[in-house]
Amino acid sequence: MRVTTETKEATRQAILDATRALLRERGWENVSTRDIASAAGIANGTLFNYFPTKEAIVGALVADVLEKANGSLRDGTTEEQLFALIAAGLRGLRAFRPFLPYVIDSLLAPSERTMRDHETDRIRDEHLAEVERIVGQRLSPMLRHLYWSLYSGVVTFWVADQSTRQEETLAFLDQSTALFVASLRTKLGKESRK
Amino acid sequence: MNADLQQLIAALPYDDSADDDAAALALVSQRAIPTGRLARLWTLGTIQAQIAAAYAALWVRSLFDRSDRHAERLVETHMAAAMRILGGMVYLRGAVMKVGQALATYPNLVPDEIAATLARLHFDAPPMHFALVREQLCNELDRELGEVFEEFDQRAFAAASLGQVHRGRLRSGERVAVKIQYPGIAQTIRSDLQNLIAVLAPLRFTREWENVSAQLDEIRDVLGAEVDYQAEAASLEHARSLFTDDDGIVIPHVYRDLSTSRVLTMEHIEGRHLDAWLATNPSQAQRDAFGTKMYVIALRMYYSGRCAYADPHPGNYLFLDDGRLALLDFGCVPRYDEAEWELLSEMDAAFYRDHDALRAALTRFCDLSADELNDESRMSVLEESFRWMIEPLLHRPFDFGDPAHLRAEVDIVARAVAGRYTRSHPMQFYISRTVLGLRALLHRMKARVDVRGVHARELPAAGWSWVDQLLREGAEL
Repeated sequence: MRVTTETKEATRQAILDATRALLRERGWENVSTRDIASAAGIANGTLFNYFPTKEAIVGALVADVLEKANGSLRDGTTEEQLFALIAAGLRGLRAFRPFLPYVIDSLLAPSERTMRDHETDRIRDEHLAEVERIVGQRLSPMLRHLYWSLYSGVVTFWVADQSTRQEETLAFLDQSTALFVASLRTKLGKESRK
Repeated sequence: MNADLQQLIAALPYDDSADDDAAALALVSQRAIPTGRLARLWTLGTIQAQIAAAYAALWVRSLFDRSDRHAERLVETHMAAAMRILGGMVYLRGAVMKVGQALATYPNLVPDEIAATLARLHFDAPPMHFALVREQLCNELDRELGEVFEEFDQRAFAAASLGQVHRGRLRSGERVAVKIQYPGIAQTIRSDLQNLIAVLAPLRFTREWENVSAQLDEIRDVLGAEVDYQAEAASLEHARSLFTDDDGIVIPHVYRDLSTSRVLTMEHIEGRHLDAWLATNPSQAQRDAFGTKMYVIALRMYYSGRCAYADPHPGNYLFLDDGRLALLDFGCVPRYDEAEWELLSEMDAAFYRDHDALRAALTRFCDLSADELNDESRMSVLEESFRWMIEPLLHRPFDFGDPAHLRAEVDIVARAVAGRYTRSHPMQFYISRTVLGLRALLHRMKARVDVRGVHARELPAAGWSWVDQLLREGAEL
């Protein structure tokens, strides 16, 4: 039997919905891929046709949330738009905050050379495309690296932030975006523009 | 270091404003406040260091007699080490190191700069763009902006200590001013003050430690209140309860349900700031009337409210077209407890009732030893300082436009610093700021005020028994 694109998408969505609900209900450690498959109404083996690991499912959930954050602010300065993009992403991820510590390192691995899967590529590529749209230029590999280091730093900080309403993350994000935008004006930024 | 890392570091913007010792000294005196956004962000935290440096140097230099060079050098060495520790703290960057080095290199240059720094002790937060303001506001109020505000200005219309102020209109129609604090700054200040106290620990073996530590506690309390907008809301409401419509003094209403420790929503008041008002070329009568209101505010809050309006910054007053005066910022309003109130009573009594009691009052107020009490040079500076405080009571009205009055105080302060007579009760720091700030403001306005008359009306509320007795005896206050 041929599986149509539509069925495939519906199954994928069912897996994501089941995972989101189960994680919220039981927490990261008490949910297995078997639980997810059963909640999604598919065989355990079928699940692995879609996602190789539990981490990858969460990766897809995170990527979906971050995709929605794109274009959250279309006016304002470069710095402000970058801030709004990241802040909107964090707001979207709020529900996932309790179990992000388990996946954050692999999702946001700073080097392009580490082993990665489809979802982490998607998170990085879509986000960086949006950043390039905001700053109005292609980023050189060095600037991409700098941005991603700051970005993953902010998200990692936020995941562990114990301050009231994570206000310290806001300050950290503000300072990180200021730093990145300032670096666009340095020699490196100008070279990247050529 | 591999090439990638070097390239990365090269890409980081570099703040070169604190590149030499001269710039470091300028930082101590707060003459050069960096204006670029990034520079401002990097200064966040170094302001605490400036205070640390300023206090440290002042104390170090006032702790010892000139004869005791060895001990002085020892503490200076401790301080240099302490400055290096401060420089390593998360928020305190290169500038601090420079300040520390400058202090170690040119200890003789510093005292005058410090006096100026102390008088202007305040915190600056980096400016916030609207995306950050919105995020902080939504987090604090736990609602979307549109659910609360019909309109909200994206641009700040004023800078505030630790944050900025935006205008808005509530869905219910009222116009409001919303003060928003830079996220995380309260915690930064708290922990940096904690660090400062730790760093000053070498001083605890010296004779002045008790006074130093009491002054630090006082500053910590007042700053603690300044970073907590709930405390400011309480001060606003306390002050508001002290005035009636007849006073012609306006203090904004607080929207408690739209205020948190980081957000303060107040009634918006339309008026002119000092410079704009002066540009309208007001008549002498208008100058005198507004000047009198300023004095009424200060003395009402003092005698009736038992607190000080310790930040008489020109930006905190609004001149209304109908002649009323509005007071906006209540971040720095120290209150006095019973013991302090009794001590303050003695100072007033020394003027009104018993001139011989002045030395006794000063002894308690400045914690003087018998030797110090016999030191005529010290006592004459202290007495002059007291006479300067009461001078406006002796002329009716007193003309604050005369520059001689302010110049005299500058001279007294200079001599107090030079002679190392600056030790005083912790509350003196904010009292000085209240009085000096107010008089400097009245000088710019060229106002004449019947200070004695205002005192006579406000003093009875103090609740001091000697005042009641004077009144029973039919004396004129």
